[in-house]
Amino acid sequence: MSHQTLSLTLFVLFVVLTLGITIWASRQTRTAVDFYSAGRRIKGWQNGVAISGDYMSAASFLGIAGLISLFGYDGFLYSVGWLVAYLTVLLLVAELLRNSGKYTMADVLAYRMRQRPVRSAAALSTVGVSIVYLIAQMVGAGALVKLLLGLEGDAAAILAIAGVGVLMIVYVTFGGMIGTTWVQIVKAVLLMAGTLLLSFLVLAKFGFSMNKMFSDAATASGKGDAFLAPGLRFTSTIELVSLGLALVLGTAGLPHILIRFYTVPTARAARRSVIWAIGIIGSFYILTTFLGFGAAALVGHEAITKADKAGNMAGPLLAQSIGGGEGSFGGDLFLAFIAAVAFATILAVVAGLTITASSSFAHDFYANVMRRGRERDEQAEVRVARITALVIGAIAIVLASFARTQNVAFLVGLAFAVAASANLPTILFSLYWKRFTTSGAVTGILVGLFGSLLLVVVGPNVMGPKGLIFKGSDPLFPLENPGIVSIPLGFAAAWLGTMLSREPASEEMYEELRVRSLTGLGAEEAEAAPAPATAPATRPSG
Amino acid sequence: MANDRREPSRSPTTGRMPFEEAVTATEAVGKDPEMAELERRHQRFVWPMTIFFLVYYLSLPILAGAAPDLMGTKVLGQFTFGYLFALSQFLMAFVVAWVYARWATRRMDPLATDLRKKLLSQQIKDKEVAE
Repeated sequence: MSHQTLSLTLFVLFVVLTLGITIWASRQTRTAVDFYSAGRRIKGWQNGVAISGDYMSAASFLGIAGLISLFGYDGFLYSVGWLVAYLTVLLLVAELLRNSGKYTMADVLAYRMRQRPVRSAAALSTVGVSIVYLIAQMVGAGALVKLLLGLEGDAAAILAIAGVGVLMIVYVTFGGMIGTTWVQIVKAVLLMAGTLLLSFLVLAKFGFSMNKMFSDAATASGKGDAFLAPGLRFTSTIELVSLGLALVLGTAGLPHILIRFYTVPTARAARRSVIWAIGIIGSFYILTTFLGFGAAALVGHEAITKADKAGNMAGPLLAQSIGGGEGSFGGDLFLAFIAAVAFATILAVVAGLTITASSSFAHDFYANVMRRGRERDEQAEVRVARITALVIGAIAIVLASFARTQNVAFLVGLAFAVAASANLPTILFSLYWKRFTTSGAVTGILVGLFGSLLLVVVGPNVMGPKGLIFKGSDPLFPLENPGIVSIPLGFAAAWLGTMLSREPASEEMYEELRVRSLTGLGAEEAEAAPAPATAPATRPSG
Repeated sequence: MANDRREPSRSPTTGRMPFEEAVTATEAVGKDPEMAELERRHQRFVWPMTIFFLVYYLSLPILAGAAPDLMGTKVLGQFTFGYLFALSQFLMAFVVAWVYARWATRRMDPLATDLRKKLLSQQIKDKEVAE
């Protein structure tokens, strides 16, 4: 059996398993709170595993392993930043958010602001960040499918991207948040198991000596000791700090991570879920050492770049080499297994992103802005969310087929910078600054969102000799990652917008928000209490 | 300006929607000494801790950019200072998370639960009076 058949079989098995979960979940999904927030019945540890499943994307599994295998030490900096980012989430955001919101990121912002402007801006940035993140995942999926099935040409890549896109639409539209959560849990377990196994086998290859692995990797890289030190990928301190800021502050502004805290019943469960996520994600990122340096030593620079210039195939190729090499049964089997894990990874992340973007559109824009929040028809809202998932999926398929030559890690790093610039300032000011106003929130989101996107467009990845346009001229902005400029810009815009306006109503409500967010008043008992008259039938007949 | 603040779906008493059981009478709570204590504990823990981990974390990219030779120095066999420092970031994250969870369980949760119960019973009383 060739590796194509094997990997197809394993992949189909995963799809069947997760579709089964989705169908089961669709029977559990009756109300809006089911669809958006899994009925708030997810346990803390389950949510922690699901957060890990949501977070460890193609960029983590394929991208970091590839960067380490090509540039050594510098690639590992991504692993550190993406983990430490969870401290920002844990200390400043998770519990307060759980206590003061309901379905979407905008719920917290809209708590004491004027609903329509804030929800419109938040829906825009949620959809924006999610689509950028989504494109990256689908580009990765397309490349993987193409490589695995040995397909050639652009048509195959576009077909692969479309296939993944259609699958994800099915998951989200039928399963909602319950289905998505379980798909993420299954994926996280698979990914951890696959990575642990691979790391163990790599270490065994070097007689359980990390020293030998490092020195072999350094020798094989042709760079010698420089491979174990910073400087092969990044040389400028400002560029490094800019990337570091985007990574460490971005997570707390990622809508698809934030809404996971609404799926648990209490703030304590939200806390427990971040602790679980830190444990799982931290262990995973430490293991990227073995994937990256192992691939550098065992697969080699030439073979890695031959398969994919950006190094994205380092992990799968490492599995093939550990299993016995190209053409051997063991090699094919292990490659197929790791590739199926990578698919699972991408599908789960894509499902999480799609449900976030569609929830935000349906709840924030459709229900609260277009319909002005009048007589909430939850069935219609869920229907709009499902249609939105379809539309966003289609948009992402189209954009991803245009962006299919882009580097996956670059796109995800961009999504982090955008999230940190557009969403984080407004979230923090809403929760901690009494004087904050609607104008401040809207300016903060818009300036952060468009500022960071603009800096990327005029930066070296898009403009100038190494970019896509104006190859003759220098880029207008020198940094690859705009974080160090765009994040302070987002904060400054939110501050300035606030200082130029006054909103006594928002200040009055601040006290109340603090009481609620710190004590859980109205959030915890609300779950246990019987449905009040304002909520539509929680359990329709049948 | 403020005309779209109050919408029909939201409670007429608080003008806000997030939870159906819109709980009123939280104004007085702002002055409650227990609430002030909760607030004080939260601010005093969370901000210093955030500054600590951000400084510790950002010293990694700064050192990687400004002192690559130091980071490339081999400290233990093939382990460079830079790799060990990066690993120490994982340890730091695990320790901060553990310390936070312990602090929150011991210093925040009992007080928060107390306050919540007190406020709830107060509201039930208020409602009865109103009716």
